[in-house]
Amino acid sequence: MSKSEEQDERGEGDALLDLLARGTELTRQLVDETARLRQRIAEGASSGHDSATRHDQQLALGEWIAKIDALQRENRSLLEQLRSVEASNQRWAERHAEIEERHNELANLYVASYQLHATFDPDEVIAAISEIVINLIGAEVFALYSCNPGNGCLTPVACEGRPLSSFSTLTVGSGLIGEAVVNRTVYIAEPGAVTVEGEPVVVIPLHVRDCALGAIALYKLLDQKAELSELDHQLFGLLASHAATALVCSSWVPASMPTPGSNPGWIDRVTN
Amino acid sequence: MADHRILIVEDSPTMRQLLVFALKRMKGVQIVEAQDGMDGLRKVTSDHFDLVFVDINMPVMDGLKLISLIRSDPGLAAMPICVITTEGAKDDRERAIALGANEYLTKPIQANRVLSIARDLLKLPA
Repeated sequence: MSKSEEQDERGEGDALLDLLARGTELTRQLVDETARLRQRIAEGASSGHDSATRHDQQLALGEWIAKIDALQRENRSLLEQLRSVEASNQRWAERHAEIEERHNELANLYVASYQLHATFDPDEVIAAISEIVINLIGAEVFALYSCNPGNGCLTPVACEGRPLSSFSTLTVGSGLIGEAVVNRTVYIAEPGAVTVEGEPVVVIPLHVRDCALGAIALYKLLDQKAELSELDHQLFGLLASHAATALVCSSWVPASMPTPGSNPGWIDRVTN
Repeated sequence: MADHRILIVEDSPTMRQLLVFALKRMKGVQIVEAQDGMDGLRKVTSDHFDLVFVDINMPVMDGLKLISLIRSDPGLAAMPICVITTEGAKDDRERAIALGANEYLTKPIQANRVLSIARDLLKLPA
């Protein structure tokens, strides 16, 4: 929330307090005046004044009734303003919660993107993918498959939750994972659907241009994840594109490559 | 000069960065990172911290061992500790609380939950 928005909100809060105080004061005046009026009427009736006095009393009574009407109108107006300020506060609270949610999403996406591209070491890229899947998405069991274009096989190369040997080598184009790689679309099981034992609930195909690199298959999410959030869908999309490019980049850069700054010709080597 | 110093002991760079991201929204906070329990112990015994976030599963020295060592040090016994766990690891969480952790945070973490816990343990207004 910006500083001016905070000031607006604080100003509205102060206005609300003023309105409440004014409403309380008016109500108190109203009650006091009504009591005083009743007392005067009672006094007039009991003392048997003459007609002139009665006329004066009626005039005074008319004035008081007019004043009461005015106070009642003002009170209604204040109540309407109060309701308006309350509604405004409610809108601000909802907007604040929405901004918090967006901030959380952006932070997650930034961190995921940063970690994927923070290294040229293939093992570190795979570790970053694993961390994103475990810590940001909340997968309990998953596997990362590498695609071999020569024989069309998807070989498990990294996993969590089960031994690597428990994940089979798959075929591109066959099964949920193989089909997702061919279709180049993220597969997500229907919410609440009963999944077949061993079948993934989410498959994220990894592609760079037309080249299939593999897939990330999520077999089980953490128990507290009753459903996938908007952020999860955004992270699937981010992994589908950025994980693939990070893996390709890391395979291009040799481990012995000098670091920038240590070799004056480094930029030339990269750009040429 | 920072008003509050927070130590994050977590082996995952992703989680560390996410925690730093969330905690930096608080004003007057200085954040120090440690990548395992031993690194965390070195830092917590050589410098002053107002709050420590500790992951449970870490190499070299795990979070439970770190918490027990912190609590056995009279100079650190009152320092607030928040453990980071997964929802499934209920036993770890209970053990951490029994060892003296003040709060717990479950993965995947939410920035507003991190802030809420930090403000609560640092006794700052919400």
